[in-house]
Amino acid sequence: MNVKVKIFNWVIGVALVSSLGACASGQNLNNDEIYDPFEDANRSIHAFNKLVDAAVVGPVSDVYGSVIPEDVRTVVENTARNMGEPNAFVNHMLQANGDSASNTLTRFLVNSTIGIGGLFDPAADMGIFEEPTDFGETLAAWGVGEGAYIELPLLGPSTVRDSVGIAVDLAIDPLNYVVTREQAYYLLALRGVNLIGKRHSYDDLITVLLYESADSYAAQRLSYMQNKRHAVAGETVLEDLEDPYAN
Amino acid sequence: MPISHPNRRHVLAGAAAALLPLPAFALSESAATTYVQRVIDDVFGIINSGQSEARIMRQFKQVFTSYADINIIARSVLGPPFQTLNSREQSAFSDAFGNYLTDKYGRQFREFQGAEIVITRARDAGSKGVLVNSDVRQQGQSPYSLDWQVSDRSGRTKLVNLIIEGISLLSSEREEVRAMLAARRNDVGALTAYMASI
Repeated sequence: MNVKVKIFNWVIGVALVSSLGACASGQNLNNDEIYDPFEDANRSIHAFNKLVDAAVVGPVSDVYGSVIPEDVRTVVENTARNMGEPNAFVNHMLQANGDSASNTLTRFLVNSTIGIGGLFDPAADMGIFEEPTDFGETLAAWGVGEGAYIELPLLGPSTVRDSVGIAVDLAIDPLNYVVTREQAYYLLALRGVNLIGKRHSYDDLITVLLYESADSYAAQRLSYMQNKRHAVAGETVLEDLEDPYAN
Repeated sequence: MPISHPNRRHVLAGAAAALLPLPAFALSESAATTYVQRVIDDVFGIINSGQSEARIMRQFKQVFTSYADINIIARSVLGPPFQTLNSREQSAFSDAFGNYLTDKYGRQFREFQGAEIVITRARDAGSKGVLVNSDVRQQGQSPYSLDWQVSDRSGRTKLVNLIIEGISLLSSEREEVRAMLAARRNDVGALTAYMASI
């Protein structure tokens, strides 16, 4: 517990320091303006990530997709998603986003009971869909700029702000405070398997992005940044729209 | 509001509209919405037609070509190098880019199988056109957002951009084309030849 508090304090400190630099760079969306001072290092990590994906994650996900029946994969996905709801709830609350917080809580309660511990997703059938969020988005809601673009080893595209968010999410996830050490390992394994499943579900998209792009680093960076900004704003911002007649 | 009884003001407004030159960007939110709904209806008409996949893909490409403003997209995506081309090279590039684009996105029709696209709202973005927001809903899955940027600035109402969960086709393709061009030592002719050959 003490260690967690220390990590938390450290992380908040880093977040505040990085926000000073980030705010100066502004929020305006222009693709030439993605702040990427670590591009060389990022590109090396990107090459490494692609290698891992091509040699391990991709092939494993192919096997997973062909060996494990779809119903079972859906159950894994549902359970992992359900285990993520408490953390999403906390972040929606921190963002003062009452509607999303209550939807998330409802989903967790409905799916944990009627959905038998999250194996199924009856909430989605009721029209209450997952509204994923994280501490990176909470920081954004608090006005923290995204900071430099970073590609993380194994975890992929991120920013300084969102990397801090990942660390904070590990510390504030309510689930961590109720599960035993053994259960924590199962949870980790479940999330790992779910990632493999996601890799399988999005195989077409990932293939286009990583293996058919002329510059997969730049393509992934742009997709990540635009998608994040859309998630933070909750919509496509009119001011960010491109003018196709500009040149 | 009754529309069957034109009053004096309506008649005058109509006369004024007929006499005054049309503003350069006249596309209304409702016209853009109607336009996008027509695209959606066409797309699902094809998907639900029960034809072979190859035929569906061909028709999907035709829909894409007829609704997307390929010339404007091609010019925007290539950027400054487009201005260095003569008119023959410009149209050759546009045609080749159209071929590349329809091939790439024509394959994506499977994404919409069993889905429903619901227009949620439209917003006027001034000279950038109208942004029509829609949700793509699939059974048991979280809906995702698909935005259509529509403009009539080229003289005809057309799609100038698609934005999926914030990711813009225009900027993704600009980056892609830039990288493809760099790989060909900035030789637009070589890029045109490649795109035409797909």
